[in-house]
Amino acid sequence: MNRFSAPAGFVAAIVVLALTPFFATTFAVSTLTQILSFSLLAASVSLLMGQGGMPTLGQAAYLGVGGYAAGLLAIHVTTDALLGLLVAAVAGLVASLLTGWLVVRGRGTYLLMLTLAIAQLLAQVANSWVSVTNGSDGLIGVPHQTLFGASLASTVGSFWFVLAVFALCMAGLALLIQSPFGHTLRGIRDNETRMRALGYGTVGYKLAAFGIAGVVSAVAGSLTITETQYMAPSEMNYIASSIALIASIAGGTTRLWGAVLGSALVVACQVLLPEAWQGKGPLVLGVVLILVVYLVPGGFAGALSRVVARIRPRARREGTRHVAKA
Amino acid sequence: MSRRLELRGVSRHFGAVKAVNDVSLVVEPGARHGLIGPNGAGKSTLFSLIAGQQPVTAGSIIFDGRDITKASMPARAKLGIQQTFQHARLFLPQTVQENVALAARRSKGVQGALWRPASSYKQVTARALECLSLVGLEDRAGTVTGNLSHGERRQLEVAILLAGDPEVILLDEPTAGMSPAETAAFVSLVQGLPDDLSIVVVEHDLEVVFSIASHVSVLNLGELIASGSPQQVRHDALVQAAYLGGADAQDVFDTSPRESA
Repeated sequence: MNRFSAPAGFVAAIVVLALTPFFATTFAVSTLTQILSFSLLAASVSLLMGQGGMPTLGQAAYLGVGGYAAGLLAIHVTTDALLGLLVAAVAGLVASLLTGWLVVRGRGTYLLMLTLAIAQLLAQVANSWVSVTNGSDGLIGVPHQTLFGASLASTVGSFWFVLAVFALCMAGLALLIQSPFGHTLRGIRDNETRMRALGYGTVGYKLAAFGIAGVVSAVAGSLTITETQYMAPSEMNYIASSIALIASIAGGTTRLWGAVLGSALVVACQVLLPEAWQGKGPLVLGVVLILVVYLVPGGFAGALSRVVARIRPRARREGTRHVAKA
Repeated sequence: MSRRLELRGVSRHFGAVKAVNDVSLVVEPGARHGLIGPNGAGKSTLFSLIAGQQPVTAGSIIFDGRDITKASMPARAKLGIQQTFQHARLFLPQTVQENVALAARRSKGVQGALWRPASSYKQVTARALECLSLVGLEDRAGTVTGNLSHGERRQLEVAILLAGDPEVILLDEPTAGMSPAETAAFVSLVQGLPDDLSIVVVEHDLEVVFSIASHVSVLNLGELIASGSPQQVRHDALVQAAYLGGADAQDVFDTSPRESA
């Protein structure tokens, strides 16, 4: 049942989201935009961790690479948003493959430390290469991006653009997860040695996953430029990466829409807190994460799946694990 | 279809410990080859050398006329040399069918395909179910692997091997921990495998070895001490000494000064 209803549910969700500007406030729409672009970063963490078994504390670095690439392109060359996405994606791919080559050879905690080190290295480059990046102040004066000549300056315009890119990326990731490549990744996650014994050169698949995650993160960086016209080293350091990791875990790493729920939570903790709580976002987020880890193992997505399983036990047994009868 | 596997003077030393020392043997195409020896004889180490899980210290391994001594484990698996593990190594959170499908996708060459749903590859599904029915697990296809009994996991190991289209399979103590009934079922399963498949089995249960193997090699303290038909090996004096504890315990620990590691 899942295979048939999931695409329908996805399309319905995108349509509802696309209609929100007609009834929601500008603030709500801009918050949604933030959630959507952050979701792509969290989803790339989920791809690596939930599917490939590679936890990462450095994914925001590739968001930074994409953000700087798109921002610099807008300042110096063209404000075209699609070209911005393309340049960001290529930059993210190159950066993630060059660094991932090292990362995917580590396992578990070592892998986590490698991602952390590389992220800090890239953030430091952004910090020190002042002539290009403007140092710790970040890119200032990025012009509004344009789409086919029309400005994306309005909140609603940039929301629709971000939503469209979000939908495409999420659909692509969903297909990827169902594909043989996705199954290969989960095999590596569950037992890498056995995969090698089966004839899988696991390093190559892990590197491919790292590259794809790098592209998705860089796209999120380009969308950040679309939305805020700003990128700084602080957006790509390990703190930013750890927030993406938190979003992924809170939402449930094995499901893509878990990354969206987790991102909604993270962004809500940053922008929706009452006046008196301003600046206490990280504290609230920390408490929420502790509660999630203890009370809802598997994250929101895991909890929702269990509820669905209870309502439709037959469907779960027969449908969700793709058991096909010949 | 099946091809010849040859070990030439293969050794694996850990410092002064000679886990496997200068072993030469030939596995003919379609052979049923038993590998026996007391605990610590180096049987599992020898397997991991053949499968490429660890490198040899000396010697060479030839398969189908090609020197594969330096080939990686995935490369050897692709060539058709595949092993089961002493402790079943399965993808426990996934279904039985998916475990076999992972092997089938690799042997069909579609394991890296990106867009089509994996479930739409009918030839993979068919091959997985075929291998499951060969080992008698067709009714368990949808079960999560962690819920299988010990004996069923061993059967699944074999189904996974078969789905990888192997030429030579290495079974490492496949009946360890099985009940007599499970053991009997497993022996007839192995006896029913295709004739052109070469099988090397490490086993403590000599009854199992002698009912499967047409050729038996005996390892003791890392060295090959006998090789021949089950009849010859059964009556070999060295083998009896090794199994009855006649071997000098001093041989286990080399008393010469340890080489710097």
